[in-house]
Amino acid sequence: MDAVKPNRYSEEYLERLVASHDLAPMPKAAALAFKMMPDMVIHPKEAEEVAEIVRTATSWGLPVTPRGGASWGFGGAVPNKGGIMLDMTSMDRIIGLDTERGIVRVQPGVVWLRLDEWLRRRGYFVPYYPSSAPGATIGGWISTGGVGVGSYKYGAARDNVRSLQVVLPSGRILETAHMFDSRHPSDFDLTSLFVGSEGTLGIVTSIDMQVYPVPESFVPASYSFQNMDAVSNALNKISEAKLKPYHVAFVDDNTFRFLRAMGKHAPEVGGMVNIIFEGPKARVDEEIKFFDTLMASIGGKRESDEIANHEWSERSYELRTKKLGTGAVIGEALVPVAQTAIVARETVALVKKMKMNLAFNGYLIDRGTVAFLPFYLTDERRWIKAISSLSFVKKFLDISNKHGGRGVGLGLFMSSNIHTMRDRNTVKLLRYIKESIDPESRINGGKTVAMETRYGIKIPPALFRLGMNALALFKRFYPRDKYDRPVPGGFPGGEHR
Amino acid sequence: MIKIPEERELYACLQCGYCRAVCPVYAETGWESDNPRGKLFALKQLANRGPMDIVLGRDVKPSEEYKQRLYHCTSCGACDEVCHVNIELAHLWEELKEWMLDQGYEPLEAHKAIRDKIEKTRNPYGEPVEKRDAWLTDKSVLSKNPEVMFFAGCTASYRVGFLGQAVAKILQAADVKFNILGSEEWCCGSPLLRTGQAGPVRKDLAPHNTKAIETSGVNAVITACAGCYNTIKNDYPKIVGAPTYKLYHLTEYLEKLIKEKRLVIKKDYKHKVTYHDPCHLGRHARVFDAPRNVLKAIPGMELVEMPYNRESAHCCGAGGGYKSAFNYSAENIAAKRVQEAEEVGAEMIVTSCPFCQVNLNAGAKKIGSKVKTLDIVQVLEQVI
Repeated sequence: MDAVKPNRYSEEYLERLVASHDLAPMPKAAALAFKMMPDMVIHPKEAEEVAEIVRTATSWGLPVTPRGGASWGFGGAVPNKGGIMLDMTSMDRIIGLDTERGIVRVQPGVVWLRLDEWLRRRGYFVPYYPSSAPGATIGGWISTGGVGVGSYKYGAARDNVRSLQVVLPSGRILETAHMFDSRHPSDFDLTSLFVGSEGTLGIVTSIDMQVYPVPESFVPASYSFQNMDAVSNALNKISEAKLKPYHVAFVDDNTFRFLRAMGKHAPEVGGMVNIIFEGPKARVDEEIKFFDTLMASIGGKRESDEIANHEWSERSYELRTKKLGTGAVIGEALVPVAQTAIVARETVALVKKMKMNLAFNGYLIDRGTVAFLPFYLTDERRWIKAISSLSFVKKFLDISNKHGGRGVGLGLFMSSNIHTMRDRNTVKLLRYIKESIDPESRINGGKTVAMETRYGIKIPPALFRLGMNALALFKRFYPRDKYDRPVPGGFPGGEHR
Repeated sequence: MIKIPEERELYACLQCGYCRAVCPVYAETGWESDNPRGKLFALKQLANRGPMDIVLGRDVKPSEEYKQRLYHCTSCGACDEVCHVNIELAHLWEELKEWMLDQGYEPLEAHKAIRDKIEKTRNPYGEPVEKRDAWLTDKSVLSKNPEVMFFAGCTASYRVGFLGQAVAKILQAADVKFNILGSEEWCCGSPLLRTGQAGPVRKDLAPHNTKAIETSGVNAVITACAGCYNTIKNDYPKIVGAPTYKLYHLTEYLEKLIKEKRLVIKKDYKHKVTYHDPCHLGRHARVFDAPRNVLKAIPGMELVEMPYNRESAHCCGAGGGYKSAFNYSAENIAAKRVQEAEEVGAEMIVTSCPFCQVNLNAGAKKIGSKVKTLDIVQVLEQVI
């Protein structure tokens, strides 16, 4: 590979091995279907270098998989046919801040938390970011569409990315928008096309994004409720309110129960709604007063500032309790706010049937939508159980779909789900776009709009559904999940509220 | 069957990569296998090896390459600090290094040489035992009935004697009766513990030093070296049980002396200074405030913080045997830290670890920076 220096290129087994995964705890047997280990790992530094690598990959007939922080769990950053792994974390420069327009230009490998720290030293901040901000990269998250912390007020990444520099599968480099018309393109909105494309249409090498002056006041507040129904009601009331806070998140009682089982202090409440306020102080004070009254009127108890600050500081640590089972698997769906209670109830009923232990949290992403994130505990060492438990994610998405919701994240492992998210004609158009831009399926091929194995065989969605349903049924016949973690007081495995 | 230490923790690892973003070695090399997440993922493949590995044609076993990656670590503990699931990573890396050596892998040449010297001369520099107290030219300052024992450490004893002399001068100024162990002071064992060679520490060094301190009859021990302090505070109790004496890092003791008005600061020090938290004193031993309080007591000094300080302080690159084995990279890491000091406009860096001092100065030299690093006692001896 002449395009890169030898110290940024490796074919060593160990290096390829550690690049063969993301957050999902996939069993080794998955490698029978997908060649998850790349043939080589490359650390590019500049767009021109990426372009050269892509052109070389074409001449060699190798697939290319870009990888950011690899902190999502759908296989979008995992090879399915080996080939070249482009480890984009090597492109980690913050290029500059345009204070006139409030736009920062970064390379895709910059970690969200680092960007925010850099900006704050200059009087700015980035108010929208993934909860995985300490590890996730800018390029990785925007490729998921980017809903997360702060989306309620500031929108998703999609709403804040002004322009992208992208290396196309042909090896050509393009800018998706011009600085002056990026908000109002009169032709196709190419920026939006690439944001959320899960790295299947090209390789993002630079991002211009909106940032904001650090607010005068920033206050987290926590309100506890009796149960998840009351939490769901609170989310409804907040989304209908005349005022709009910065961020609204919730946590169920089982999250706290798991934490207590680990010997940590956690409030004994039926659920918690965390509302974060930011802006001019007078405005924040007004919002706090308003939401204090609103929450009290529906049975919410304002918890201490200490609890609220702790809840906020833990926003990136929602899976601390993974240790209880040794493993945890996350589902993720966008659900109509009005349906939160029923989706929560049916999800709990599902895990009871599947004899698992689950907790959930989530947040509002706009006035009509909740990002609902259940996670279940598992023990990877009991691999038959662990594999059959993976079917929960599919069954949970069935519940959210039934109530008007949609799954989040396709990547490799959930790409069959596109048929439940989009109608037939839309799927056709999406595939057409992919094929037009990447006719040889060079960049992240066989993902997102199709699920393709290492042998080039496309897995029909019906087969995927059948397999997942069979695993879920199988799981129901197994004894209830229990875990071996020695915790003070013992873990009440087997029970689920 | 190979028993992997803390195997359960490998499964608990979420692979979130928070550790990746704070690892100084990874920031330098960029290779996933060098960062904590990568190391744990690779080891998990070993922990759950089985027939599927044969089907996939994977030769899953500990390897020389993996051993090298374990030593690509400065023992800074930054990964420990941010771990999503609270894995005690700093401790785990040490256990894994020892485990690899137990599998028959050789320590790195530089670390093996250190072990050989310590076993022969009780210090990592191979210097004669009888010259251990040569740094203190005037022995008349020592007390036969001391309040405290000053555990000088190998580096102050043999390489930077002026640090020991500064400590002696400060203690004298505060009218503190002190003594030293002299040739009865052996290496604390930190260089061996951090490089997976704990055997001699368990067998000889920790028991000997503990006995030497306890038979001296002192109630308090001070050490000016972050590595010695961390080792005696956190490792010795696991080896020899709870101590009968109170251990202070020098900065904690100085803070106490200043508070009790025994140590009087007489002169101004009109410089803009930033404090660098040594990993072994800060993250490992949780001493963050004492050195800052000592510096704040000096009139005229402007103390500014670097953006990454206290628990999130960036490593200087010297620890864990990394500098002795990978000096070029260690100095690059130090150079980045020096640049952070430059960015906040500091004229100098003050620290409280001789290794940090040496490496930060090497880093500054590498990038042509005028920012010098001083030990806190070098500043203090100028103002008393």
